[in-house]
Amino acid sequence: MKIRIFLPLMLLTGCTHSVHMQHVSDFDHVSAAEKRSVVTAETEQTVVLGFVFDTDYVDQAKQQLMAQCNGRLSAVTTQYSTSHSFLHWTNKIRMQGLCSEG
Amino acid sequence: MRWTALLVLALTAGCARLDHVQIGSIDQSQGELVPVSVRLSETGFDATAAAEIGRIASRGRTAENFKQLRDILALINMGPRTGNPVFDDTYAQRLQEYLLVECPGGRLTGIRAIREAKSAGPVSGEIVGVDAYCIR
Repeated sequence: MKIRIFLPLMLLTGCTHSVHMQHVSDFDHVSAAEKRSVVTAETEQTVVLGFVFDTDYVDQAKQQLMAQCNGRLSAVTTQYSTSHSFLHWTNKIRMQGLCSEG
Repeated sequence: MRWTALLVLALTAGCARLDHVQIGSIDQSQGELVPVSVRLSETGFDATAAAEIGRIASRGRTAENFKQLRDILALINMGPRTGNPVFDDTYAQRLQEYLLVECPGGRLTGIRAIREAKSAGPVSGEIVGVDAYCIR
């Protein structure tokens, strides 16, 4: 009986998240002549029972973002969140910016 | 007595919570500053806390079941948290898009990023927001 209650609960609730921080950098003025596009980078860090395996995932996200834009990056939003799981969790960094080229 | 304590807790638990605030540079020299604001939110629910409330509010075998449920929920939702957990972590991803809708020219200054919540025990509204000035 208990397993019938707990199993759906495990399936339902083993997928919660927590958004810790969302930051937005300054917006630069972009002239009408400039081409503007949205670029996004996402990286993750897996933590098992407190043991961390990748400590440079924030730098990786920044490098991924810069690699997608040869011009000027502005309005960079940075989201730091965690996805919870059974005995482990995943920290996530998501960066999104406006790339102006031209 | 137990129900009175729970009722008092329920009535006093509704509150606002600020987790993080950060402000950027402010340029007042480029033109008229028009305040703009964007708020995105998602319902937060702490199932572990709800099970704990169930344990406190019940007795005997039921209380024991709630205790087991609380422990299992804690195990399957491990990890750091800010406020109550949400079931969708993409709710804040359209912040930049909405800011550009509020200020089509994209000339924003004095950007203040806020992470806050309206909390009522195990249920809350987890909020991500930005206040800024649009230069017109």
